[in-house]
Amino acid sequence: MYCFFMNLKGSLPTLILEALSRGPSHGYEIASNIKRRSRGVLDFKEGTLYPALHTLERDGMVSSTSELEGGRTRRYYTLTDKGNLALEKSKLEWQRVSGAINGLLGGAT
Amino acid sequence: MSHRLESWLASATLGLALSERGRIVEEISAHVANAIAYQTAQGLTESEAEARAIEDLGDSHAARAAFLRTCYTVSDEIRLERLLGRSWWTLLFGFILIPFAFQADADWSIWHVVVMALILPTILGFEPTIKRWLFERSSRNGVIAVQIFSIIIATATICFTAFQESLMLQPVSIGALSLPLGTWFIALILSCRWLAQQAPLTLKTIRRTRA
Repeated sequence: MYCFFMNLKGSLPTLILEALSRGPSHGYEIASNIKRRSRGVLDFKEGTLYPALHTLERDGMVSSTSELEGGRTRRYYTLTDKGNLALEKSKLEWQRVSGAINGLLGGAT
Repeated sequence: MSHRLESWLASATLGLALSERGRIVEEISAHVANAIAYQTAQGLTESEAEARAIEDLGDSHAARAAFLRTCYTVSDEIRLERLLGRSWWTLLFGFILIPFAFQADADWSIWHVVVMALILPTILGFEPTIKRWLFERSSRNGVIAVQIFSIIIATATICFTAFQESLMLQPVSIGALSLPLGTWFIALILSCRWLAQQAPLTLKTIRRTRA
């Protein structure tokens, strides 16, 4: 029997961009946001979040600033215009693909 | 910082450049502190909360592999320092400015000295800005691409300069070289920036295709 699963690792950048579309946020808040809103379904190892964030920053999708909070430096990430555009494209693509899969698996069309 | 977190971070950042390592340690320490605060509020002891927070970070080797795809390593940092070293830039600017000064030939005036005296410190003053502009969004692969490209262009220029007299069958004054050299330098800078930003994207596409 084939086991079908969605590739969360590949979707993580889009999920990060979506979390940031709600406002500037730091790494822990982004991870908690994704897990909470997906009711724990989209679970991932939090150590992989930071390389993904750094890649998004290097690609100009997000920008970051560091702030001192309670004696600890915290880095806040903000969605850029380029990131917002990429998020919109990813959402459209996701809707197209999920619609097709739903159609194939007998779900809502 | 606890020993457990320290050893996770040491493993995840092994071989990464110091600047990158500092940022990662800072971010993940803050992340773990938040996670511990949350877990202790849920009733776990500090030690249990920390163990859970580190477990949630996942495998440190997998994190390191992911960081190595985006961050500079120690050897990249050394390479980058060599590439962006002041002497390299000064030499390049000198390469352009000296022919400019010689261009004066018989018509040498104090203005050439004044212009030289103004241009050189201005360029060196803007050097960090130029470097940032060139490399802020480049990846390690981009820097390597730039280095290879620069070496090829520099070698070609040196060969051309060395053999120009035999190529053109007449002596060429150093002053006459300032315009082509200036154009070459600007083209090199623009090409470096383009390469530094394009190369990682190309390599990323290759990696995705392989995956």
